[in-house]
Amino acid sequence: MPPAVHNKKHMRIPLYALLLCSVPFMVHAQSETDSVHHSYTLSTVNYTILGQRYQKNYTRSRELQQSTDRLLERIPGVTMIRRGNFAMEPTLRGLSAAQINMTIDGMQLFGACTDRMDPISSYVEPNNMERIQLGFSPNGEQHNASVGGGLNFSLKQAQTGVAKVWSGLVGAGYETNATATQTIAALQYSRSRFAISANGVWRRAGNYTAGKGQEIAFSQYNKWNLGLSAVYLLKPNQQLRVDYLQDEGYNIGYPALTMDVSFAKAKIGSASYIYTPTGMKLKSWESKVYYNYIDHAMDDTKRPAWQVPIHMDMPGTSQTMGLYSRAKWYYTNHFLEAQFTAYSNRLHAEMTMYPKNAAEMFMLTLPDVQRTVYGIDLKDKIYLGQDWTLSPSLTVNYVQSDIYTELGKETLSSLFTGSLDRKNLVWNAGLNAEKQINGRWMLFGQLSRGARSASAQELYAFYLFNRMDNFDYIGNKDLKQETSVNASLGMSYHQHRLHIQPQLFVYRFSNYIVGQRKQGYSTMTIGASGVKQYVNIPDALLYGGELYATYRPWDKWYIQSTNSISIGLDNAGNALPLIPPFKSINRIEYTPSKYGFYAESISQSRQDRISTVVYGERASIGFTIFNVGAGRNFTIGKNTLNVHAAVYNILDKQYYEHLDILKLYRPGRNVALNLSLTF
Amino acid sequence: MRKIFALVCVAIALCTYTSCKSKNNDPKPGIETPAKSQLGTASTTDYIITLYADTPLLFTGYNRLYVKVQDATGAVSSTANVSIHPLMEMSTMSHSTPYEQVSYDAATGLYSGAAVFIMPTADDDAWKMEVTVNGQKVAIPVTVGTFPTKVISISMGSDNTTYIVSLLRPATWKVGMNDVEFTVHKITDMMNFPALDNLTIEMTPEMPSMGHGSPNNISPVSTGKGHYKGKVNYTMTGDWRLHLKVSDASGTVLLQDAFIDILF
Repeated sequence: MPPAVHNKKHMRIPLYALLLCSVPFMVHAQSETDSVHHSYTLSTVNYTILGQRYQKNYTRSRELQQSTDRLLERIPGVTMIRRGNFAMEPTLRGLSAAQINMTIDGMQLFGACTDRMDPISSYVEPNNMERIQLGFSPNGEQHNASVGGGLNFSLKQAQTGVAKVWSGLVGAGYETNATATQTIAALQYSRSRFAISANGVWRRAGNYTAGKGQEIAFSQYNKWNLGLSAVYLLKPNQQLRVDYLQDEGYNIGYPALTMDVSFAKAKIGSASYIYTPTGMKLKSWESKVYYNYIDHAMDDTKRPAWQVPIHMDMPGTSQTMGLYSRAKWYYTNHFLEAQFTAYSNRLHAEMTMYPKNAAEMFMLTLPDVQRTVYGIDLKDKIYLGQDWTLSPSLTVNYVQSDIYTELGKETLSSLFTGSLDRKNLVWNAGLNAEKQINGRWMLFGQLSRGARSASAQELYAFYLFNRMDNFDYIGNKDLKQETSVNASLGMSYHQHRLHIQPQLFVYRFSNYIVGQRKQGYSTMTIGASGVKQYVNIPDALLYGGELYATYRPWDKWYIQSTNSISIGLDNAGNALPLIPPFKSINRIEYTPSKYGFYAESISQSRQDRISTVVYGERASIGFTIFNVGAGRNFTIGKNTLNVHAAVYNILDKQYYEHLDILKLYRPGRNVALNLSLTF
Repeated sequence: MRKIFALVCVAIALCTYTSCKSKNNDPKPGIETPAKSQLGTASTTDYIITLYADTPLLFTGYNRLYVKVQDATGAVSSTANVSIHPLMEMSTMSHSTPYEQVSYDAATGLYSGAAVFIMPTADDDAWKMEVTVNGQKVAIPVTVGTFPTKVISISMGSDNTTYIVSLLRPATWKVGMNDVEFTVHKITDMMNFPALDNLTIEMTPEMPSMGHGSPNNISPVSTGKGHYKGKVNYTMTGDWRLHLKVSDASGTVLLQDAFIDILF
C-alpha cells in the first residue's frame, strides 16, 4: 500500500514519484529475507497488477532460479495451461491465447508453434526481468487492443551511476524431482554515463516423477537464456539503450501432446532512445525499434513407434518487427500518456509427413500469415481532489491480415473462396476510478469496452490439432471481431497489520470465438474425433472474483491468502473450456533476522462446470498440496550468500490442475536446494 | 529395335524440350504457343503429316494429340479433311482405343484431338496412329508408356459393361483447389468405345497413407463428349486417391469405386 494511503497529507508527493513508474505501487513492509539493496536490480522481480492498489514484492534471489511459469502461477487471477514440465501458457481469469496480450518490454512477440507449445513467457526468465505487469482489463498497462488485458515482462536494464562499478549474482539450484538443475549468473558494469549488464540461465531437467512414484515420460527439458543490456547517457536526461535476449530450448518433452520439441529458439533485440526531461511537463519520451525471430521445431523421433503412426516434422517460425514511441506528461492534476505503435508479424508453420512405403506429404498448417498493426493509445489519469482518481483511456488499432506466399494462398483455396485479406479497425475504451473513502477504505472499479480481431490461427488455421478436445481446427476468414464489455469493482481495507482486498469482475462478450464442429470434413490427424472451425457465437459471459488478504499477527509473522474463481458460460449456457475453478494459496511466513521460514498450501476445488459434448473438456477433481521452505542469509564481507531449501508437495500428492491438458499428474514431492551469492 | 528407336526419339525430344524451355526465358510477345513434342512424321503424295503431343512420351490414359498438315511447299493447311484412328496391332488381332476425333484449332494452327490409351506399348504389341488427310492415309508409330500412377480405370460395371474412366492430367497440380476433368467411355467392341454423357460421378478424394480426405470438392458433372468437370481439393502434397462412384441417369450405380491415383 503506498504511503499515500496511510497518510493523506503526504499523498501528492509519493504518488507523483510513483506515477513516474506508471504503476500503482505498494510494497509490503515485511522484512525481506535476502533483498540486498545495492544489488536490487539484479536480484528482484516484482509484479504489478494494474488497477489494483497493491504490489507484491517477491524479491528473493532464489526466485530467479525458478521458471517464469512458477512466478506467474502464484499471481492471483493467473492460471497456467500445462502441457508438460516446461513452457506453460498463462491465462488471465480464464482468458488465454489471443484474448490476452503478451509482450516483452512492450515488444510484440508471437509464438511460432501451432500447438501453443511456446507462449512467449517461455522465452523470458525471471533473471531477465525487472517486473511483470499485469492488466485484467483491455485498457491496462497493455498497449494493444485486447478483450482481456495482458502481461508485460519488463526487462531488467543496466543501471548507470551505481556505487559499485561491478556487481553481480551467481546461483545454482538442484531439485531432486526430475534431477533438475538451474545455474544463473548476472553481472553489471556501471559507470556514470555507461553501463552494461549481462545475465544468463542454464536449466536442465530429466523426466519428473508425479505423486506416488509415477514417472512422467517425455517431460525433460534443456534450455539456456542470455540477456544483454547496454545503456549510454548522451546527456543526463537522454539515454540510448540496446537490449538483446536470446533463449534456446532443446529436447523438450511435452507428455500431454503427441509430439515433443527438438528446439525452440528466440532472438529478441531492440534499441531505444529515452528522453526524461526535468522541469517540464513532458516527463518521459521513449522510442523503441525491435525485431525478434522465433524458430521452433516439433519432433516425434523420441516417441515409441506405437505413438507415431506417421513420422512427421513440424517446424514453424515467427518474426516480428515493430516500433513504438510513447510519451508521458504530467500537469497539474493530469498524468497523460500517449503512444504510437506499429508492428508486423509473419507466421509460417509447415508439416512434412513420411509414411512408410509411400510418398512424403507436405502441407502448410499456418499458411504464411502476415499481420500488420498500427495503433494509438491515449490514457489520462486525473486526480480530483484528494479522494478521486479517474483514468479514461482509448486504444485504436488498425489490423491488416493477409497471406504472403502463393503456396499459402493456394492452400487456403481448399477452404475459402474470395479474398483472404482482412482489415479491421479495433477500438478499446475504458474508465478506471478509485475513491479513497478514508484512511483505511478505498473503492476501485473500472468499466471498459474491449475488442480484438481474430488471431492468425483463428482466421487461417489449416488443420491444427487440439489435444484437449481431440479435434482438428480450421480457420474462418470471415470471423467478426470479438468484443467485451467488462466491469470490475473492488475495495480495499488497510490498516497496520491487516489488508483485505476483494474484487468482483464480469466480462460480457459479443461474437465470442470458439471452435464448432464442422460436419462433412475429414480429419487430418490420425485418431482425431473430427474437425472444428472457429466461429463467432453471439455472446458469452465470464464472471468471478479474487480475494487477497494479508495479516501480520506479530512482527516477523506474515500470513497471506490469495483466492480466485472464474465462471464462464456461452450463449447456450454451456460452461466455457479452460476456466479455472476456485483456487486458494495460503501462506505463512516467519522471518527472524537472517532466517526465513514459510509454509503454504495450494488448493483447487473440483471443476465440474464443464461441457464435454460441446468443448470436449472433462471434469477435474480438487486437490490440496503443501510446500515448506527455509532460508538463511550469510554475510561474507560485502557479499551475501543466500541458502534456501524447500520441499514442494511434501505429501507426494497425485494432483493436476483443471487447465492441465490430458490431466497429467504434476510433480510429486520435490526437494529443492538453492544457493545464490550477490556481490 | 523399334523400342530402342522410340527411346532415342524420346531422349531427343526431351533434350529439345528442355532446351526450348531454357531458351523460353526471354519474354516473347504474341500468342502463346505451348511447347509440343513431336511424336512422328510421315508423308503422303500431297502432304507432310506431323503428330504432336503435350509431352514427349504418350502414357496410358488420356493424351491430347495434335496433327500438323503441310502441303509439299511446307505451307500449313487449315482446310483439309483430317481424321485420326489409333490402332494397336497384336500378334493375333488388332484393336483401337477411345479417342476424340481431331478438329482444326485456329489458335495453334493444328488439328487437335485426343486418345485414351487403355494399355501401354508392349513387346509385340505396338500402337500406331492412323492419320487420314483428304483420303490419304499414313500410319505413325507411337510409343505409349505406363503412367507412374493409376490415371485410368478400366472395370466391369454392374451391367456387365466395361467402362473406361480416365483423368485429364493437368500440366501441374497445386495445393488447394484444382480443376479436375475426366472422360468416361464404354467398350462396345474392339473398335468402338463410345463416350458416355449424363452419368453421375461422386468424387471423394483420400490420402491412402493417412486415411483422410479433403473438404469442398465439387464432383465432376457431364459437359458433353464424355467429359466431366469438377474441382478437387488437395490439402497437402503427397499421394491422393480420387474415388469415383459412377451412376447412370436412373440412379443405378454402375461403378462402385473407379479410383484414380495422383502423386504430386
